[in-house]
Amino acid sequence: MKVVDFAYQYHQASRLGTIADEKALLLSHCSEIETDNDVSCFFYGRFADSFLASQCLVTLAKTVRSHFAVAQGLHMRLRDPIISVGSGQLRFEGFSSCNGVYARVDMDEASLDGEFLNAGCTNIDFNNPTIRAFNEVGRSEKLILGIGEKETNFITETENIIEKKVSLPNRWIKGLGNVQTYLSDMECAFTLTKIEAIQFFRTVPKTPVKSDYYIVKETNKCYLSAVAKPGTLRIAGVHRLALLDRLLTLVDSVSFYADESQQSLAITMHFKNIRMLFVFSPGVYRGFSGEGKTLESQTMVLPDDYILGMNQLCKTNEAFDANLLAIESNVDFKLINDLTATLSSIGLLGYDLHQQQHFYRRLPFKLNRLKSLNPRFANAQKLVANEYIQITSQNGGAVVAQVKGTDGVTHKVILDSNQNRCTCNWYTNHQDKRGLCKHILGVKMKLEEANS
Amino acid sequence: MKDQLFNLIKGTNWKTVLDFLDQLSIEDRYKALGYLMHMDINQNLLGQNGFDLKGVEREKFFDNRKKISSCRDIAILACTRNKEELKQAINEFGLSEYGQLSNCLATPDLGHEPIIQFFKKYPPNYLDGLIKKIAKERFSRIDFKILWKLYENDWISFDEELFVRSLFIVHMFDRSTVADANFLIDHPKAFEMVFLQFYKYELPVLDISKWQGRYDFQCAKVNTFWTEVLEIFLEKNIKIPRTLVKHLLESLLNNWKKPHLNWHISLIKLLAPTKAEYLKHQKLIFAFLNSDNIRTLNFTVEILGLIHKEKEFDHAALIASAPTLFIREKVDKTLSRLLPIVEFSLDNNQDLKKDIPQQLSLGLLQVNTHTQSKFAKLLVKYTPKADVATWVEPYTSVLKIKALEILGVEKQVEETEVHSNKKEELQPISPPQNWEDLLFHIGTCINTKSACDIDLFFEGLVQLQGIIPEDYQKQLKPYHRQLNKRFWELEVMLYFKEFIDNWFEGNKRFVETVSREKNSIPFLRYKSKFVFERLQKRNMMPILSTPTHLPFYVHPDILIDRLQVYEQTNKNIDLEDLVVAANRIVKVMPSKNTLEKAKSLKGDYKFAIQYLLGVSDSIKLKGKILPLNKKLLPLWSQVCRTKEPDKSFPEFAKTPAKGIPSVVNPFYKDFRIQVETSDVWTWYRLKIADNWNNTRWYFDKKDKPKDYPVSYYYAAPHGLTSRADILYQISLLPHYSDAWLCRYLPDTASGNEVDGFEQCQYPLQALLDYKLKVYHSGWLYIAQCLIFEKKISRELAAEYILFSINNDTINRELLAKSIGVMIANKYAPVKRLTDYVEKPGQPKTVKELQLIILLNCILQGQPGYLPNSFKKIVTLYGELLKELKMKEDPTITEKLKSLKK
Repeated sequence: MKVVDFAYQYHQASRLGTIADEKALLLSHCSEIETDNDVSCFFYGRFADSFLASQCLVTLAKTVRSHFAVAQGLHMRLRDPIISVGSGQLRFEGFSSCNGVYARVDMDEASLDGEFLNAGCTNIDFNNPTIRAFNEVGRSEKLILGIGEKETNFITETENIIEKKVSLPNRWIKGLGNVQTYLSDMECAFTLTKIEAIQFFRTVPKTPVKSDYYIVKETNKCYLSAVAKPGTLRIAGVHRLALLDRLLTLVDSVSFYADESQQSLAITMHFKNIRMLFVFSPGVYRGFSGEGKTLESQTMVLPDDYILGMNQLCKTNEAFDANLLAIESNVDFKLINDLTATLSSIGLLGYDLHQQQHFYRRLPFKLNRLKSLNPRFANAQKLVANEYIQITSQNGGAVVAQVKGTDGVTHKVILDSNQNRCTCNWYTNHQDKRGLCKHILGVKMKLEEANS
Repeated sequence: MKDQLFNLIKGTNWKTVLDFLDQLSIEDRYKALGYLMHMDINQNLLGQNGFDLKGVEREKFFDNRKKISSCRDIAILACTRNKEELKQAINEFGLSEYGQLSNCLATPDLGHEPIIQFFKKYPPNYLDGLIKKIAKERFSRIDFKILWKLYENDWISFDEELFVRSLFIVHMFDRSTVADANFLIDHPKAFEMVFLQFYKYELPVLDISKWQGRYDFQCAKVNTFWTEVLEIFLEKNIKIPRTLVKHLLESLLNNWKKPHLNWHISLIKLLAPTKAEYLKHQKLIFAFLNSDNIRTLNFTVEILGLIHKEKEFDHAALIASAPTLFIREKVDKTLSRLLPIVEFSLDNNQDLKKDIPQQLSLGLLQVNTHTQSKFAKLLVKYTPKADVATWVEPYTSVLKIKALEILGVEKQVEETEVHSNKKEELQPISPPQNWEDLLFHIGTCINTKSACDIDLFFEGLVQLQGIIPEDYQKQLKPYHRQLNKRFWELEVMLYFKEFIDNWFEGNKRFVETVSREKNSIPFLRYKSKFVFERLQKRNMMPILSTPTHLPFYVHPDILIDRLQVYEQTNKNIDLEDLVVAANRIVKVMPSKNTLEKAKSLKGDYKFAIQYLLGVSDSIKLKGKILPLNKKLLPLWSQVCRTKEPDKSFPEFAKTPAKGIPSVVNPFYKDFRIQVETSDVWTWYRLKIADNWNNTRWYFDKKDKPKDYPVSYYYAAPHGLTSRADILYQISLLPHYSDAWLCRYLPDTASGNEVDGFEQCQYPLQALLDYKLKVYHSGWLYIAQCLIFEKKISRELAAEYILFSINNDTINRELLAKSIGVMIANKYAPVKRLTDYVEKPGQPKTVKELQLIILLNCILQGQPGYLPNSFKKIVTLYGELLKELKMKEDPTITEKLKSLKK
């Protein structure tokens, strides 16, 4: 069943005002999960460096509003970011409208001076006055931030803005899972100093570029090349890097991360006690939503109770160590691995590149929405249920199967230790770069079913 | 009733129509609705469609028809009187929910009076929701005046955004600035509640529309309409609240489209804020320095210039905010105006000087010589002398001579990465070894479309034809479907699909489905046909041109082995196949064993192959019987050029191949820049001798270049193509692509269409990816790419030049002279070249080349016909001379003197 996009309405707009002569911004929040929605305030306090924090959040706002793939019917829209509050941290995250750039601002305890009143994850209202308010914060100014409302002497001049119903497309939510899977495979390739970073970003084209570029790091410089060389990092849609420009004068260092396949690139900007992460999809016209990266380790269907149970065991933003959890909770390692894959695929596990570990957060969406976001997984389940898969030979690690397709076509699937192959259109177009096709996934499920 | 109603509508008297419907019962109104919905105006009322009419008659007919249509709309609307009736009509009669309402709210030919009269009698209780729905429709239009009337009558609630949009969207033809201004003056509530709220919304004011302006009928962006309306207000002394200035200033911090923000700036200027007003909002103004929009930055600096000497000016905030601009690119003019303001603040506030050296040093990253020098001066001014070197140290590699002089530091010798000239090891490849691999390899071919994969597939199929399963068609079906479901433009895929179709269908004879007009890769069509033939004849002989190493090379050891297989089984080789195999040869020393085997070859091609592999030095064109074996000329001529790219081969001067480019002499072509002008345009066109690049389909057929036989690949006889096809083409001539590159040269460096962009990208990308050498006039192609309009082409060319310098394969003179001629003849803007020269962090070898290029630009310069910014070339030449510690050539001194005259 198709799940419609998540439409929501804030009970009121985010508001700018003053509390005891200090500038204050109260961000409205909204979640599909009622218990989180009822929370009046998650966090209330100040930023240690309000100017820096504001600049990062303006950049996040710019990212979520940007749109790099111009497609018919898709309009540039401001998608509200989500925030995870807990374990002494605030994490603001969001995607560009086209779903091709993911940005996250990680603020740890040292960058905040306030009260963590409730833990949770919620959408926050980033309306135009909010962005302007962040823009206006001066270098020496302080800003009070409330995620939700707290009883205070809040005085506002903001006009009464009536919040409209907005919708967060499912593909946006779907990308949250895929991007974390990419991140967990990445390693730091190199780090640039502030001056190196400024020099490098000056070479970034400002107008859209179709071809891939490659980031070359040499002893004393870093530059873009139009040609792949050993040790270079691939970046598709290099003009998307311009999103980082605004923060360059404030940055301490910039780290570049990539995985072996170099499909996606991550960049972390390090500031004092704040980090801002950007992840760029493998192509301008390839949003993170369609990647299917999470499917590779997902061949088991776990009951909802297991997933919901995790919320009792883990807190928002808490480091998620699967092995430790298995030992502490006396759970089978295989089960915990399947659980990790499932949680990751539906975006319940985030990945912190800096600390190289997963963290837990309960996204502000209902479980059935999160689970419905992977049509390839659902289609593979259908192939198994309808008995469309026939294993024709199984010799050691090599499996040959025939899978009934549409219009009288039968696909051949071969699984072996080197490569999984299929004759379908998806596999032809994407090979193994965008996750498994439904036929290979179906065969894997069938084998798993037979083995269990 | 039907006839009466139709007659009333035909009469276009809406009052009588409304009166008529007013008297009807609900049942009769539904009946009337049925008639109206199925009414065909042409057939039922007018008896014709009017298309046969002409002139005034036609005009009259359609004017009347529009009125009838409007009358029908109001009649349909009047058939239901409230939400409940409307709902019933929608459910039972299929009435459009808001179709007629939408027409009545736009600009109906009968005006808005009918709908107002109807609603007065039957106040609507359904409008709010429907109007929102209409507003969401892509091409809907709601006239603001009627919307306001509905609101005034309390028939709809006030929705600010909807009202503002309705007012500010200017549809074609029916708006007038004067009328709109008067309407707003006459309706102060609308002026206040709607007009003055526009700053909150990113309205589509950048769309182009047509309207009646104050003085003439205009076709322009909608924002000019509203600027004129504001001007009218100001002229008529209509009071505009000053809070609008604040709101407009605030809006400049929105992430909106730049032209929209620019419009807000022009409105602020129109409202002429006072210094006091600006000072009141100065905090906001400092925040603008973070803006991405150059116009906002310029506007900010303009304001700062106006207020920075005032007492209330916040100097500390300026010094805190300005550094964000210090590293920005292409803001030289803004910086030149901002820096004196910064200097003023620093001079008058001692306490602000503390952290400024660190911030000012960032400005040394500016590329522009003047801007960099200004930062250097300020740095020297505000930094203790002893500390200057410390602050400057990280930036010395990017400093220009002038800045170095100001700062009093020496440029460090730049450490450049040593690029290894060691040849990369070639990666061997092999065709599919079993049926499964062959089957999935079809998918790989569809995916990569590469010459290597397609050729390996053909080889695999020929070798494995004995073990193809009986149900191969069933297994092939998914791929057959994939190939046939898509529209292919690439010739590579058209030929591949043609082959798979023939194989899948089990044809006995090869059926051609690709048009013969396609002529960019005839070899692939030829190859697929001979592979098909081999399947028919169960011939499993190897294909000579099948690549053995990536990306598409054939190793001499394997080529000789393949030839021996033919000779041992007394089978004839395919000469076309051998030509391509020889063109794809890996330039390595063959093994001793191979050399021995080469000596023992028997075929008439043996001397050519022996020459290619270095077994023999003599060119033996003589056949067994005739004095010249003409059949072997394509092989011989290309083998010679592959082996000795720079040599002349007089041996071919008396053969029929003598006139074919690249055969006797290396490929050199003259070129010139031809200027074509009219009153409104000037084109600078690159003309290569013999119309060599006159290859595009839209060029004058009279000047078509000469055709050459298709087997002479080094004469580039094939048609131009794109992307994957280009890669297949280059796989046929990797060792000598000069003539081919020149075919791809667009005739202009600016104003190209997509095909031109691609021509200056994909061939160049291939040269770099496959590390191919350019020898002769191919450098003309590199020269053009270096100053081409697309940045990617310029960067690829710079990369290729660096690659050639590192491998010592660059033709400096030809490259520099070509660029010199192009620049001096205004073929491309000087800036494209100076951007290349000013690129920071370039190795000395590149700078030496750049010096030669600049020198050639100066030498080619003609007095009275110098391109814009030519002075920049002279300046950069001087700077490079100093940097490389070289002396100026006396001929240049003379030339510069003559140019000055």
